[in-house]
Amino acid sequence: MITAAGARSICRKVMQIAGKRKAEVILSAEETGLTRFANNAIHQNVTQSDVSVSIRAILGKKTARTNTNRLDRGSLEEAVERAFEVATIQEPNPELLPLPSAQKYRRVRSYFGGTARSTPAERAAAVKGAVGICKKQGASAAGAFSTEANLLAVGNTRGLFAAGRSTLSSFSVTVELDGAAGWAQEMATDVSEVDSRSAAGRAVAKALASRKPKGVEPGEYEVILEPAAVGDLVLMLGYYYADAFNAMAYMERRSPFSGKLGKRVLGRNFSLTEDPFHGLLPGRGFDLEGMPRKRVGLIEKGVLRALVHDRVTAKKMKTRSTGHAGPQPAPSGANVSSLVVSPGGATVEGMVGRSKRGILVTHFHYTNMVDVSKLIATGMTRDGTFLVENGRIIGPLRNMRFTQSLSEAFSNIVEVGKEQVLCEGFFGGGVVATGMRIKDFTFSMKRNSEEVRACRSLRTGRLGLQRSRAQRTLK
Amino acid sequence: MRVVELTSQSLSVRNGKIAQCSWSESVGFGVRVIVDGAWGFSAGAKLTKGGIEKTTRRAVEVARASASLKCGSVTLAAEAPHQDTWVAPQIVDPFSVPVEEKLQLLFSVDKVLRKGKKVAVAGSRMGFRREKILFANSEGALIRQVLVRSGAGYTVTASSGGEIQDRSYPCSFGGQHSAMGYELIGGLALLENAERIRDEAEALLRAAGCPSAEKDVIIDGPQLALQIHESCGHPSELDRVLGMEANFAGTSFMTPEKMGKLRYGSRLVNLVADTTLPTGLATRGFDDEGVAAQRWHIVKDGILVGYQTSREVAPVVGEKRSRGCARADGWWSVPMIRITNLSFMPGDWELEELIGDTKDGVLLSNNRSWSIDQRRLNFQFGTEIGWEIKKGKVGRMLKNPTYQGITPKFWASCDAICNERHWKPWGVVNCGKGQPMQVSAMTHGTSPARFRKVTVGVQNK
Repeated sequence: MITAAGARSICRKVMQIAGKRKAEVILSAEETGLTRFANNAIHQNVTQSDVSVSIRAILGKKTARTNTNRLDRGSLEEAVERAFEVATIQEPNPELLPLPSAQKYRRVRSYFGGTARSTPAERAAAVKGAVGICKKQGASAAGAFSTEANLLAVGNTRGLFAAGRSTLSSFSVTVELDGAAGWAQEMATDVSEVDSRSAAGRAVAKALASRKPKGVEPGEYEVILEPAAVGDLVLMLGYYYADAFNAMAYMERRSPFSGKLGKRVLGRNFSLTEDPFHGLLPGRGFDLEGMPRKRVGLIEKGVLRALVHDRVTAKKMKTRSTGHAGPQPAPSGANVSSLVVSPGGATVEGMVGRSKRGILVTHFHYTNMVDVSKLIATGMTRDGTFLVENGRIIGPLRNMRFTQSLSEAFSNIVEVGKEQVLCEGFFGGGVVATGMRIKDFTFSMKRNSEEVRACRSLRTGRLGLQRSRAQRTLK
Repeated sequence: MRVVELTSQSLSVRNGKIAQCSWSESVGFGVRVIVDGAWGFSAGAKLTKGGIEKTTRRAVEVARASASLKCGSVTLAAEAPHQDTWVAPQIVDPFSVPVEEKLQLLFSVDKVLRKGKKVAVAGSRMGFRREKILFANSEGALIRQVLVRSGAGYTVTASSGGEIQDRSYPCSFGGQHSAMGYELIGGLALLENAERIRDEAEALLRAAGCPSAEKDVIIDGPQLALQIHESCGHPSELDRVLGMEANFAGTSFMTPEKMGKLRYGSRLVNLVADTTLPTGLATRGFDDEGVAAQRWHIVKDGILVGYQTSREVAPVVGEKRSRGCARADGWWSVPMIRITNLSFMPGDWELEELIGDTKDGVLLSNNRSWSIDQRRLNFQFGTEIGWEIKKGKVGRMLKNPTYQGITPKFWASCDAICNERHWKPWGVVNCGKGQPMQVSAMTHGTSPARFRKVTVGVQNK
């Protein structure tokens, strides 16, 4: 994989080509491997590597960008000249700021050589171990084990240069048994911390416990959400759809929190930070303009304390950039990418133990925002949903749809979990989340007779690919 | 092996300023192998002898790792090794049109949109893409293809007193896209509709909320396109049916033993897959396994009769040949089954007639939110705008309309479909599938249609 020195060399080449003109370059390199399995067998196994540059030309208040993965001198010259050619015919952008000068950055340790050097054979062995655990119970496992290494560098003609590497590994598994399902995931920047067998064991346990589910009526329930479920809701708040912490969205009155800086927006027991330096996250110390990233306390005990800024919004709101710029120009503003839920003192088991009547949720499926202004979200429960009564799990439940205001949910938190876990949202993105116990959570729809009928033959008639390979044809 | 050269251009104007003006190119190749009866794939950008050899060796290494946990060996349905060239038709090469001309149109639209006093954000955009693909396999296939895509649209966000409403044109998710050249743009009437869309966004701030009730709904083209996509497109991908997506997007209720038997919808419902559809975003001469494009029914007269397949899984449902649905979203990705162009065949109603025939209903337009369960049964959609229909007349505007249902019950309630005059192919460019995620594009042609007794207005408390 390209090193920081190699990235600097390419950035320098681009700056040399730009000459006395102003330019900026973002270099992105990745090497990924992913081993995917279903029906207890590996069915898709891929590796990929690429290095690309995004070159921005600046002519006064005009700017334009070209992107290429052709890194020979001739192609870079072509890309630079095209960027300047297109910049020439732009309308001037009065908000365009000069390039920043060289900066200093906080060091972030999120690169582990073991993850970067992971081989297909190692991933396959880990998958085999996990599948073995599932097979012992007569279950069918599907999942994915990925390892990736990334390098990002930013440079400009004012002498700024920043480069950072990160790695990430993720193992997730869905186990199906007698029509029931369980799920678990482990993510870490260091692949040695990802235990595929442990994840498989937890998913199998959930699948075993989920057989013969019953239904409950739609309505308001206390919920105990495992960290993956909380993470998905938090990501909807900040990372996709709601733009709740984006300073530009705030100023444009399209954030659900517009006008509420310094005011209570969520419950007193909810605190959320944007923390690119958190040990669990694959963070980096700079943004896509090369400005240093900062830790930002977004919500402190329910009060909206801060937003994330790039230099444009910082200037408008007379504050400093928090180092969250995307590729410039970015008139839609800056975005969070390293959300961390502050921990409380409870365990998920403890929260279950203190619940008189509630629903334990493993994770959600296909979550989406229905109404941004009221933060109303919807989604389904999935792969391990259980009824809790008098402090005990008394049985599995059929999956249900929720339709719930996130501001109400995060204002109705009864307890916050103490264990922070790196999770992934349904639409991607990473978040460090905890479990939570929340009261008055609305489930709007339960599985009904039509659904049960439509699914019935899944239990008896579903064919895995392994049967198809044995039979070849279905008559 | 697939060698792909991808060129794209993206332009957008936001609140009077250029938000994006970029030109991108990416060149690389992907190699897929079967070794020891298992798949391996590797991709790289170094198109040199050494680079290709290294990447191919990597693919073999990956396949050997796969073979350590396989169940049976991969065998593929036969396909004649085609040697051919296919070029997407276009009238005006979008990359030949000056950037100034494109920006001028976007700025003109932007100016109209921002005249609204309650408009917080006006965003207009255009995008163009060309893919040159060279495919070859060890069976002797050698295929060259050139695919083109153009798209444009805008969204206006109105905000007042904590209320936020969006209106988009011609449809959501960045606008309308087609496998056409720049000639698409003129036909979209972007400027002509800007005032109406702006006024509707502002009117939504004052509109009544959608009532919670059971209503007859008439769903317009763009929203019905997404309904088709989520409730028929994905569940008829045979790899998903066989469990290969179980860990991420889920499985499907349309299992193979139901083929020819499952009543998916009313007898009016015909859903046709067509990789030959003119201007379709999934249209091409051959898929990324070298299988020639085809047209076939997924649902015929309301009965499930077909699937979207690849060479590996077609035999599972007794088909000797793949339907040619394997596509990769770039040189860096492995081909997998993707939804092809999947369309709802027209009926014989005029839209005015259909509205006139509806006593108590809601007319729903343009997607805003979407959610469906992992078996593709329980869904909930929200649209940007709706209108009440009372005694055959369109009445008051409704904000935040949502509807929910169970897929086969919903499609069984379809009792009227508008005719060919109202049929349009709607492009979807943000279809996500797979691990690692791939984003693909396809077209869903549809006319507006009516569905009886649908739950609308899902409320939170």
